Amino acid sequence: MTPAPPAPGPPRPSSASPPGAAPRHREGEQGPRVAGEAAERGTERAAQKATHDEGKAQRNGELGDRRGQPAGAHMGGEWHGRIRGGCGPRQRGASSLHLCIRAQEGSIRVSLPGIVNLSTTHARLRQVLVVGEIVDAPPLPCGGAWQWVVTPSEGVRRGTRRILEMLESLLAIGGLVLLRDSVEWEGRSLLKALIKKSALCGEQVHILGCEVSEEEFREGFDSNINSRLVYHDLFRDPLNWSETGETLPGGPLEALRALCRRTHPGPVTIALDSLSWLLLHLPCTTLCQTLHTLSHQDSCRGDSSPGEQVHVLGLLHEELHGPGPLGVLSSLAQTEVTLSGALGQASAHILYRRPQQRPTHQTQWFSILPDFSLELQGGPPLEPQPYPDPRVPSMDPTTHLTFNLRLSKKEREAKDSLTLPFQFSSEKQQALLCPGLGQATSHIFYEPDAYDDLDQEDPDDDLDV
Amino acid sequence: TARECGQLVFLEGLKSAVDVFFRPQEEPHPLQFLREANSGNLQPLYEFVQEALKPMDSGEAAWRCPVLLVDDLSVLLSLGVGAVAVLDFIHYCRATVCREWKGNVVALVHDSGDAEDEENDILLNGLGHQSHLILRAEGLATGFCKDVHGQLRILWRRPSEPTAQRDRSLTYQYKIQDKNVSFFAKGMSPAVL
Repeated sequence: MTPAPPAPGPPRPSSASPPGAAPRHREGEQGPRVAGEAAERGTERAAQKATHDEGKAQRNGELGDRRGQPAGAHMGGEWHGRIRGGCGPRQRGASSLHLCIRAQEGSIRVSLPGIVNLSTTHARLRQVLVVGEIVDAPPLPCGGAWQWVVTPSEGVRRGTRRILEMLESLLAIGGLVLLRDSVEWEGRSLLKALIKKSALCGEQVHILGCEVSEEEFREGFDSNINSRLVYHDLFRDPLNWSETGETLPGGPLEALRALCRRTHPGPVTIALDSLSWLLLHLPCTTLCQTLHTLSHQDSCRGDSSPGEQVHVLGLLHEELHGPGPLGVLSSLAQTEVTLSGALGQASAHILYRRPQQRPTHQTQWFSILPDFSLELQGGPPLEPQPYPDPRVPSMDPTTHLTFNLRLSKKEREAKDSLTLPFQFSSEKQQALLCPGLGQATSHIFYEPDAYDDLDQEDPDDDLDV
Repeated sequence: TARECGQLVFLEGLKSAVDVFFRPQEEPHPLQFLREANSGNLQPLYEFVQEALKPMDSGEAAWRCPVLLVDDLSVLLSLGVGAVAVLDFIHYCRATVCREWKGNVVALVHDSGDAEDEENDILLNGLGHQSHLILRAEGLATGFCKDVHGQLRILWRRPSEPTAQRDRSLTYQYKIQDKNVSFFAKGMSPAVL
C-alpha cells in the first residue's frame, strides 16, 4: 500500500459533482513535467492545488487519451502515492490538481502538457502550499501554452532569501566587515566567499595579501572572478629581506595607504588578509586610523555618488591579540562575524551595527562549498535524547511507609491553633505591656559604684577604641 | 651518508651558537641574533636556510622538493627572539620553500599548557594560522601508560580538496619504539586487543 501523505496538507475540497454535469476527469492526471526538478538541494516543496470550476467540460475531450492509463502513471508512482494517499482506479469527479515539486532556488518551471485552456487553469490557481504553510497564490504570468513559470511563494522565497541574504547582509551596510576566526575554525574560506559575491556583483576587488601566496589565494575561483581580483602581494617579501626591489616600497603601511588613494570610480571591495598580520607589524593606532580612512572614503570624496560604497573585509585571528586591539577593531567595524562551531559544523555569530539603529545579532550555521558558495545548514546534529524507560511504572513513594505522613483532623486543628513562640501577635503584646500576677518577671537592681565607667557605646568595656 | 651526499644539511644550534662568539663580527652567521641587544630579526638564519636549500642546477642530480625541519621554535623564544620575529622567519621560509620550491616546512613548537606564556601562545596560534596541517601530540587524559605513550590529533586547515565531507580532524594513539612509532586507533592498542 502506498504511504500516507506526509505533511499536513490542505483539506481536500469535497468535490461533489453537481447533478447533471458531464462526468469530468481529473485534469490533474495530465503529467506535469517539471523542468529543473529533482534538485537534491531543494529547499522547499511546493505543491500547487488548483480547483477547477464546473464549466470545463470542453476540455474533457482532449483528455480522453489518458483515460486508459492507470492512475498515477503520469508522475512517478511515489509522488502520486504520496499525494493521493493511495488510490484505486481513477476517481471521477475529482477536481483538483496536485503537483509536488521540489523547488530550487529561484523559480519553479512547470509545464502542463495536455491542458489546453491554461488561462482558465491559471485563473483557478487558488493555493500554493509550501511545506508548513499555505499562502495565497501570487498572480502568475502565463507563458506559452505548455509552460507555466511559477515564482515560488513567499514561504519559499523567504527560505531561499535566507541563503542569499547572509552574504548580502554582510555586505549591505558597507564599511568594515570584521571576520574573527580561530585556529580551529578558519575564516579564509568565508572571506573568499564574500569576495566571490562582491566580484559577481560587479565590484572591483582589491586584496592585500599578507599571509598566503597569490596562487593559493586565487585557487578555487574561476577565471571571470579572478580577472576582477587585484592582488597586492605582501606575502613574498613584506620586510624587504631579499632586497631585490620587487617589494612594494614603504612596506605594508605604504601599501595600505595606497589603497586609500585609489582613484578608480565605482564600488570597490578591499579585502585585508589578514588584519592580524598588519596588527603585528604596524602600531595599532596607525592601523586603526588608516582603516578608518579606508572605510569612509566615499564620504570624503565629494564627487562620488551616494550609492557607491566601499566594503572593507578584514580577517582577524582572535587568539593572537589582546582585548585592547580586538576591542578597538571591533568598535571600528560595522559588521562583525565571529566564527565558531560544534560537532564539525561551522557557525557564524553576526553582529550588525546599522547606523542609527540598535545593534542586532544573528547566528547562522553554514558550510562553504569548494567553489566558495555558501550553504546554510540547520545546525549540528543533536544528541539523541535518552528515552525514559517505559517498562518502569511510576510509583507513588508515599505508600507503604513505616511512618505516618498524614494528619488527622484533630492534629490539624492543634497545628493551626498553635502560636509560634517568636511570632508577635496581639496576645503577646498585651502580655508584655501588662505584666500579670502569674508572671514571674525578674528585675535587676544595679548601683554603679565609683569605679564604674559606663560607656554607652562600649558597655562591656572590651572594645579596643 | 645522506649528509655526505648533500641531501641532509644539519645546523646544530648549540655548537653553532658557541661559534658566534668566536668569529669576527663582520661575517654573517645564522645565529647572529644572539649577539644583538634588541630582539632583532632572524634574517641571517633565513638566509642560511635559503642558501642551504637552494636547488642546485650545477649538473649533479638535483634534490626535489626540499623539506625544512625546525626543532624547535620555542627555544628561539627563550633565547630572546620576539614571537613576531619567529613568525616572520617562518613566513619567509614558507614563501621560499613552499611557494617557490614546492617543498614543505615542518616546525615544532612546545605548548606551554597551563603556564601562562603570552609570547609562546602568540607563536603557537600564529603558527597554527599559517599551517595547513596541525599535529598535536599530547599525553593521555587518564595518565601514563606503558603501552600507549600518547595520542596525536590531526587537524587539516586547508579546505582545498573537492571532496565534500572529509574528516577535518583525526585522533590516533601511538607508542614510541626504538626507531619507529606505531599508530593505532583509539582503544585499539595491540596490548589491549
